[in-house]
Amino acid sequence: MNTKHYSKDDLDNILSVKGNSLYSDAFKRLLRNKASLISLIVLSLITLLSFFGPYLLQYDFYETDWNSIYLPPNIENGHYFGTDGNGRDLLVRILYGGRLSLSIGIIATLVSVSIGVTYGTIAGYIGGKVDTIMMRIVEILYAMPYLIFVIILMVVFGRNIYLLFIAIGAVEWLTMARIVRGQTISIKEKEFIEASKSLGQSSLLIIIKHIIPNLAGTIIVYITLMVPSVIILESFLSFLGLGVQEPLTSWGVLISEGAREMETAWWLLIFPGLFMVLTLASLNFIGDGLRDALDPKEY
Amino acid sequence: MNTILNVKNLSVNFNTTQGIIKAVDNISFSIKKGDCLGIAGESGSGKTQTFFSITGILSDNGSAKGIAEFDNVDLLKLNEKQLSKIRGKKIGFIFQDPMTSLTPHMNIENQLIEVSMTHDKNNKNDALMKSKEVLDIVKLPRIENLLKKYPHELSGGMRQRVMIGISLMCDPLFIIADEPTTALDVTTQKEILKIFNDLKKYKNITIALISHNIGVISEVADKILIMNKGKVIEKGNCQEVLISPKHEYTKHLLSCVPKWMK
Amino acid sequence: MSHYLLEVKDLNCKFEIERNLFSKNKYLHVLNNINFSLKKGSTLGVVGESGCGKTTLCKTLLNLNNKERGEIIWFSKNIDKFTKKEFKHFRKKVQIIFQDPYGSLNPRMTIGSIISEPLGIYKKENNKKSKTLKVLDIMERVGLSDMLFNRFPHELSGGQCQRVGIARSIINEPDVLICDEPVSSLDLSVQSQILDLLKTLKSKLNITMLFVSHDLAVVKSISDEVMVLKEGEIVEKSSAEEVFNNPKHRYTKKLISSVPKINDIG
Repeated sequence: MNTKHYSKDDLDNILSVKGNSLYSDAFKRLLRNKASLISLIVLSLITLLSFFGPYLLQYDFYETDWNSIYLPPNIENGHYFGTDGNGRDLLVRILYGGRLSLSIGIIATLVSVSIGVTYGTIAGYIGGKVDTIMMRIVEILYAMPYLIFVIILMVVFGRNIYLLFIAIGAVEWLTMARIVRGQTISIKEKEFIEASKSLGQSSLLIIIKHIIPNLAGTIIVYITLMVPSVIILESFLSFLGLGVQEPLTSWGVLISEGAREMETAWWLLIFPGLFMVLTLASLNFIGDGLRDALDPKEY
Repeated sequence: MNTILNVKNLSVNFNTTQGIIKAVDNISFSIKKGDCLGIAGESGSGKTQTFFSITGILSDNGSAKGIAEFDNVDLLKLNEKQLSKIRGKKIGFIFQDPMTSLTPHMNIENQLIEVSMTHDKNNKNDALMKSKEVLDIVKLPRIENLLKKYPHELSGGMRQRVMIGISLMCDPLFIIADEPTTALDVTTQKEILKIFNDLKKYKNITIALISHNIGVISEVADKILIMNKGKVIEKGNCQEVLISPKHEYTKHLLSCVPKWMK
Repeated sequence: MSHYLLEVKDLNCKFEIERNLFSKNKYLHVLNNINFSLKKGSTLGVVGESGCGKTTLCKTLLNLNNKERGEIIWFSKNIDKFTKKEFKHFRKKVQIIFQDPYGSLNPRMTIGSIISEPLGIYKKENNKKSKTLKVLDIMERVGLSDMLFNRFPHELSGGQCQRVGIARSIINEPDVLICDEPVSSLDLSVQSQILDLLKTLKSKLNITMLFVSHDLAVVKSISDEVMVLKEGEIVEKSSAEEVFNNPKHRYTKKLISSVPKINDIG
């Protein structure tokens, strides 16, 4: 075959024409959704504040001051959100708590997504008996009381923060596996998968190149819905006293402490609660927005 | 007046994220009572939107302007309530895919009588009588069981006959058939086209037959309209246009039809 | 060495439609006793209406479907006896073009990646630049502008997508092309362009073709031999001239007479 001669400039020109992928279209649609846009901004602010905010504040999160215990919020002494029973500044502790809660939310979710996607695509793609067995295992695990499982882990291995990540992630993967398996089964029937098989593509590469990219939309939506559920789970465990240890703190710990002091020091509950609610609501709105954006009616 | 539909300067625009799309661009045509007008064109030519806009079934982001006089009433000036009285009663529809146009959870009998009972306010018995009459016209076998069957239990050809039957229940003056045979096999298609010819001949119903298949149009239509990109390219007597096309586009379209079919 | 690239003997296919625990399973017999051969360089047209089994035939020949019984002999070797290596070679030599131009392309991949995918499967030593050049060359051959390289399927028209499908199928120079209703979803003018493209490729690359369609006119224009299928059985098989001008079977005659004809020369 005669190959037309392409100069380097020709090639650069051709390759620089970027098409509009379905994801970039979806992102544009997402930005047009007002609730999602505001939520994105709010979430970004909270995240930035949590990670960088403490450097701008004068107090440290473990700094105790016995002369300033249970101070309500005021501007003059710099305790904008007040202090707790140990004289520690609440705002700084909320931001540090944010670091932990958000990190747990994201890392545990990533762990569960990795396990769930791998498990679900394999079960869905192979199908037949393998699929049946794999899904029965999932169903049995679903039936187990996860809380007891987590508590046992915590008791046996001690209250290790990394263990918390893994314990939560190991529980949440079940839902992801189910969803991914269902999606895989429907994608598997599509003609372009058949086309790939007819080209001689290996099953592993079909899953990686064709199935997972087409799942990504669903996975992203579920991630935004899973992160809140992970944060709540962590908060619940912390509320029970099984989560993070002093002096580290998370929103769950703060809310738990705040609930105890609710009648005398309302700020200890309201402010951490507010941050938690804003974050979870934002994630939910973004999740909704993503679901709408990734489900285009035009195509 | 002999003309049943008179369309003047009809334009249909769609408001999309990519800007305004002109689906139909200032077209005019008329149909005589009892005639069959075939509207030929490729996808995107505006042939379907022309009739959807006149009868008020455009999607939300569409808007139509112009004049569409049907039976001495300008349809474009009517509101939705008035239009819904005309649709099904004076104007019948036959769509391309009978599987999605028929309600999957209702049996054939109920779908047939629903139209009659809604528009003509017939009671159930009268409607049932009418449905039997209609099933004869479309040549569906008169089996008791047939009426109780659901759409998914019938073949494509039978479903399309049911669709035609439903459109005939209220004795319409005018039927709009949008690609009625595209989803059907060629042998079934032949039978359905025969039904159209019978409707024209025995019931004097005016038909607008939209199709990208010129062969289909030539079997039934008296007049033809060739559309491309929202504009009417050529119009006239069907056989004349197909034998001696005047416009370049018509000639091009005809040249794409495999020689064997001519 | 046989000059038949493909020989099919007593091919039967069935689909399970009901699985019963205590009584026999119910099956739908999609193909019954199919026998035919494909000569190198020729084009065999397969016509039939919906439900006749033509798509099942295409997929079974490629081993994308299981058969109930019968022999499929490609390049003088029975497909059941292919080794893994022979299978890989087979996939390279026999390609398929699907009916749905959009459905057969991964919506998340660029045109360039779609067309180059086959290269990655067989020629692992190609570097990125030579792959790109090869893809651009094929795109030109099938009439696609090279500016479409980084675009996505939803940005292209039906006709363009079908060209992408064709490009993907021919990039590894197959011997056989199975076309499953390749132009049925396309507009009339685009249909004739794609058919012309297929005819050109057929002669230039000396490809043997199996062309399946419900549209008799389309099949007649491209086939040397024609096979008529009805409800899973071959009712007539002869040269294209014979089948269309002198049909023998009742069903073939019925099919031909059902096609609406425009009574003129245009």
